[in-house]
Amino acid sequence: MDTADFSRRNFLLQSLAGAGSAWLAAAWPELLAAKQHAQHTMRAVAVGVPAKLEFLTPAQAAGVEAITALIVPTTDTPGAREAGVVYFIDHFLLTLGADEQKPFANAMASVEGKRKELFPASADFASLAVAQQTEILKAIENTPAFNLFRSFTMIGFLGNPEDGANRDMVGWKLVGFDNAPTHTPPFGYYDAEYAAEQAAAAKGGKK
Amino acid sequence: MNQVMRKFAAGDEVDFAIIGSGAAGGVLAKELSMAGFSVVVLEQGPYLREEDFQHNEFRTIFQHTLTNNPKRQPVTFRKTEQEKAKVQSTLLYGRVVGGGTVHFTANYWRFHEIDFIERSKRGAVAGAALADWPITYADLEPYYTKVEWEIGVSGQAGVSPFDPPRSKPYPMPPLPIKSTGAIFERGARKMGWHPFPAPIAILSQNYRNRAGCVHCGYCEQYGCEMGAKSSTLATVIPEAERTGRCEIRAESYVREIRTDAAGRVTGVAYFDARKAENFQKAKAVIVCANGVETPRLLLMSKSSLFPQGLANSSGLVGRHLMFNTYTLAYGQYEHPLNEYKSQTVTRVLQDFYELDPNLGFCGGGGLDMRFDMHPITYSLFGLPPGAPRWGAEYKSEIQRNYTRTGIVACHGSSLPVATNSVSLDPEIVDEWGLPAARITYKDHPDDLKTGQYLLARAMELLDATPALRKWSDPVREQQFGVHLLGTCRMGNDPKTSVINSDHRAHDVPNLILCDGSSLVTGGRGQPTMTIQALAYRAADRIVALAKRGELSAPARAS
Repeated sequence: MDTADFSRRNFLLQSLAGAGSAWLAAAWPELLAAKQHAQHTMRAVAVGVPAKLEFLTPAQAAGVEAITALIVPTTDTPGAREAGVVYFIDHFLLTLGADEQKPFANAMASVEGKRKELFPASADFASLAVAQQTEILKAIENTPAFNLFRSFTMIGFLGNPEDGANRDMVGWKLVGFDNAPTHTPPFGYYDAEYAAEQAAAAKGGKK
Repeated sequence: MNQVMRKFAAGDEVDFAIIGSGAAGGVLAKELSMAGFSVVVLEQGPYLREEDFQHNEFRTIFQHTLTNNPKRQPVTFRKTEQEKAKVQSTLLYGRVVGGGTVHFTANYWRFHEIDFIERSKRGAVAGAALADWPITYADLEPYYTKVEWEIGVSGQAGVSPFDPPRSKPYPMPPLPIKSTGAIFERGARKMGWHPFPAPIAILSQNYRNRAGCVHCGYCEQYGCEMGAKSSTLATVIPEAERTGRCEIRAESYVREIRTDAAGRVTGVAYFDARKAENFQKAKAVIVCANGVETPRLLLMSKSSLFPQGLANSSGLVGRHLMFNTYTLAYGQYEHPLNEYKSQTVTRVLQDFYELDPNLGFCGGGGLDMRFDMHPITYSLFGLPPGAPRWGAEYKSEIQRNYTRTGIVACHGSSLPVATNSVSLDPEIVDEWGLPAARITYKDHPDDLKTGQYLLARAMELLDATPALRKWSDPVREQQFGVHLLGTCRMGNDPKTSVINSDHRAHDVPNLILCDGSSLVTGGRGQPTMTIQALAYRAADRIVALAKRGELSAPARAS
């Protein structure tokens, strides 16, 4: 961060507080940019989480990643794997989601239990074929264990990159969510159409 | 802002201790401090600033950054007084400086004339304690206008034929229309209904040194980092602080209002941020803690003079809880709506505000259209029933429809029912050792019919738009409340109400209650505007009472 730049922005922010509205209107776009920049800089949270494990063992992580990839599979578009959801979950369990460690362990145990029941000869979840993994999840899909994995996966897939979720914003790109700090009208198809109709009607009215 | 907030010393007696800094508490803090009184505002939650608000769905919504945390303050629920209540997530309310106005959607509908006189107009309704207000719409009209101009409300007067009379137009034009607004307006017109631009407490343009909305979309359930949402945090609270006579004391959780042998309030006992107990002396106490926390505090403030709880000689403290009915109809569309942009609601209709008595039930409501889900919430809760919940088909569903879904929201009346109530749970306590609020709630049968009626209109509207696919949540008895209303109702008779039309407790001369608990009827689903208009009116009454020395009068013989 450029310190000189930052203090200039701070100065602008302080000016904003005492400004009259006419001046404010004229200076607004620059002030807005300054305010947002300053706020985002103040929240200098590590953006993205490195692809390394801090909480899960490599074996557990392989299982978790396989589960997340069944919930949001890689197709012609990126899925949970590409979004780094397993690394989000690993980081999450040590930070924002620290009080979820126990429910998470229970959910892992529940998947392991079902695996041993359905595929007693298997070594672990990750090494099973996708069809067999799918069978295990289907068998538990109405349980709290599955709901936990589903919630964690979607938070990791569609959450905020500043929390280590949604690597390269692949989740947001998939669903069409644009996290720009501001937007301007028209926002969507139907209000654009509405504005065009209003404009045409106004033009017609003038004739 | 560089103003230095007044700090009172321990042991100082202030003119007013105000409990809660939301829609009502913020307004009263400003009005009373501007009138020359010393004021301490005690707020349970933290003092977050604009720079603390985040564009972060998980942290804000799933981690209760701005609202009550049910893990720290559990609430118990039961449907009837015969059942034992169980801990469940029952309530959502703002728990920061600014209260619910920080995270609210900012729908600022005025109540209509009918809301104040429904009992005399409709007659008695079996199973409901419907009553007229001691004031009318005309009494409150100047204060509705005052709210619009003081805090900044965007809207357009004169479009809806159902609008109640008003003395002044809105101070600024409506916010720009969104796709749900365009769809809604077109569908409603086809049905012969009367859509109009939504009145919203968010600035559509710069106003009084605050900047207009920049359409970031982190709005309902989020704090506005631009100060464009007209929360009390962004409007009246800084003005109160600038008087030099008002201290906002955050993370101060009031446990008891104390009284003397004469039955007058002397101040409040509260826990500070470190859970140490303190006492704030005050000449008068104003409770604006919301429709659940206000009665809970009165019930916790028992004494030998007030064995049923403070101000509760009527036995009505905590009764007549109303949540408002809220039913939803969803539609999926061919083209992107991109509803995640900008603030939430842009068109409303009120054709069903006062339903025909010949339908056989009492109530009414209004509709709007919106899609108030960020991606995580949508992916977990926004899909149609029966849609895949995981796998490739699920992925296609969220890919296609996140930007293409809209919701017609139906906001309706709740009738006041004496057994719908807030009481103290006999067993469960919160993190501070205080008894949990116990909610007893079962919708009046007419409320379910109102919800069903409005939902049927919403489904017709979705057909008229036309949606490619539509579905609705079933109408069920509610077990979750966001609008917390009616629990210390206003009235002229101390036997049938808790406060008089000045908001003064019938039983205690220097105790004022002003928030959702004051409402006699719940309106049609958008109560904040009325709570705030009441607060402006209450401020005028309190100043007049104080000047006449009436707040120092002895307690009413009980």
